[in-house]
Amino acid sequence: MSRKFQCIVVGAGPAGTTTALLLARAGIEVLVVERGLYPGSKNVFGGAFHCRGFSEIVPDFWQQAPIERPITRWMVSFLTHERSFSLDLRCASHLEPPYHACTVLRSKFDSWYAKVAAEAGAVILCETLAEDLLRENGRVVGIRVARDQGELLADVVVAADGVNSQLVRKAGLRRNTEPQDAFLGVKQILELPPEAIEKTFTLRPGEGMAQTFLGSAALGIEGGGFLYTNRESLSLGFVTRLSSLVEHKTGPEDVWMTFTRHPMIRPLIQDALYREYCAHLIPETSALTVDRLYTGGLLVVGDAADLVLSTGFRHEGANYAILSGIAAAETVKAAHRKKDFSKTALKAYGGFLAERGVVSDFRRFRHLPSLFRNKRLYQGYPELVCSLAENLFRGDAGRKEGFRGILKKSAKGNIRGKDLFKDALAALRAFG
Amino acid sequence: MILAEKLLKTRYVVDPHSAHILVERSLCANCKESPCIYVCPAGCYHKEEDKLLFSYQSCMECGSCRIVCPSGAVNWNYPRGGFGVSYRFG
Repeated sequence: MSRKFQCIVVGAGPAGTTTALLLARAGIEVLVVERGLYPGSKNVFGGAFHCRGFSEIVPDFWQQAPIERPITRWMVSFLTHERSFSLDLRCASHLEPPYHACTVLRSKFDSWYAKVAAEAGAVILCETLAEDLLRENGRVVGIRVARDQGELLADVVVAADGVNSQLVRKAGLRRNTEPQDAFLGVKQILELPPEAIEKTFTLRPGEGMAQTFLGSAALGIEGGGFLYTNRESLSLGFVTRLSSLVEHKTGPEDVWMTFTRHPMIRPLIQDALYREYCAHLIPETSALTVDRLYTGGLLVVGDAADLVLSTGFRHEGANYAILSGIAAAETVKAAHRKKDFSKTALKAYGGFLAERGVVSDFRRFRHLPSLFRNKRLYQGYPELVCSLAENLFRGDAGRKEGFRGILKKSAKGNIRGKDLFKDALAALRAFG
Repeated sequence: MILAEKLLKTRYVVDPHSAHILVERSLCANCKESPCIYVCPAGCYHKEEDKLLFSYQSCMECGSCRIVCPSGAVNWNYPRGGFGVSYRFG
C-alpha cells in the first residue's frame, strides 16, 4: 500500500520542522518522518540558539519554547597549560525578548517545536527511518520506510536528515565527507542548582553564559572547548577536527581528560552531578554549492546541506537550519502553485536561500575554514596571547620593558614574526 | 570518570535483532592505524590479538568511524526507527 502526500520531510530537527510548519500553515499536506523515539532524541548541539529572527516563525516563542537561559554573558578564553586569558562581554539588554541567543536542550526544544508544527497541521511520524528514495523517470517521488506502510509518495521530499544524511548520498548529491571536513563534538550535561550556576558565573537569576575555549586544553588539536549554562545544568564539551584526531592518534577521551583537568575548568565542575554524555558530528562548509542542494523532487536543508558556520565567536547551525527550512518551504509553495516539482522548478531554492542571506554569509566567510586549518591557532596563538597578558600584568624587579619588548618576548618560541604578519592578513581577509 | 561510567547515563534502546553498523573485518586485517579505535567517542571498537572487535550497543550515531576509516570497511547506517541512542537532554 502506498500513500501520497504533497510533501514529505525527513527529520524533525529545526530545519525539517520549520519547513513542515510553514507548509502546514499554507494548507499543504505535509508528513514528517523522524527516526527517533521523539523529535530531538537524536539531536545534540553545543548549547546556544541564535534566536534573532525566530519570532518571524513563532511570534512569542520566548513565552512558550523550553528556553534554558537567555545569554547575557559571552566569553572567549585562550588556554595554555596553566594559564587562561579571556574576552568577556556582558550585555544586560540581551535579557530582553526576543533575545540575541538563548541556551536550549535539544530533546526538549525540538520536541516543543515539532508540536508547534503538529498543531499547525503537519503529521509527525516518529520511530520511522527513511531507508531510501523512490524515483520515477529520474525524479524523486517519495521514500521507502521500514514500516508496514512501505512506500510513501510525495510531490516533493525534503531531506532534513542531518549531518550523516543517507538520502543526500543516495540522491548522488554529495561526495563522501573527508576527515578534514568534519568535527566531532562531545559534551556532558552536568547538573548544578540554578543558584550555584548564577553564583559561579556571576549571573543574575535566569541569565545565561556562553563560553568558547581555544588552546592547549585540547593538546594542540584543531578544535576548541565550549561551556553553556542551562537552567540547572552546564553543557560542557569540545569539538575536534576528525583529521586532527587521526593525525595525533588520539581520541575524545584523552582530549576530555586534559580539558576537564585544566585549572580553569576543574573547579567549575567538581560539584556537578553528571547526567548525560552525547556525541555528534559537525560539518564544515568551505564552499556552499547551491546546485548540490536540490534535484527533481528533492530539497536538502540544515546539517544535511552542511549549513553550519562558525566565526570563532558565534557558532551557528540551528539558525541556518531554520533559514534553509524557510527557503525550502517557499520553494515548495511556489512549486505547488505551478504544479511543477522538476529540477528546473526547484532551482528557485537557491534564490530563496540568497534572499535569507544564507548564500552571502557563506560567501563572505568562505576563507574561514582555511584559517581554522592553521595549526598555530590552537597552540602558538593561545600561548602568545596568555604570555602577552601575563607579561603585561606581571611585575618583575628591575627595569620595565616597553610594549614592543613585551610583544617580542611573548611571541618568542610561539609565533615567528613573519607568520604573525601572514596570519594577520589571512584573518583580516577571512573575517570579511 | 572513565568512559564506561559516562555512558551509563546515556539512554539507549538497543535493537536486539540487528546491528546498524557492519564492519567488513577482512578489510581491517591490513589496517595498521585503526583510527576507529581511538576516534569513536563510545569506545565501540577494540582490538584483541590483532583482530578488530566491534559492538554497536553503545554507539551514539555520530558517524565518525565511517569517515575516518581508511579502507571503507565501515558500512554505516542509521539504526531502525525507534532504536539506538535516545538523548534525554541532548
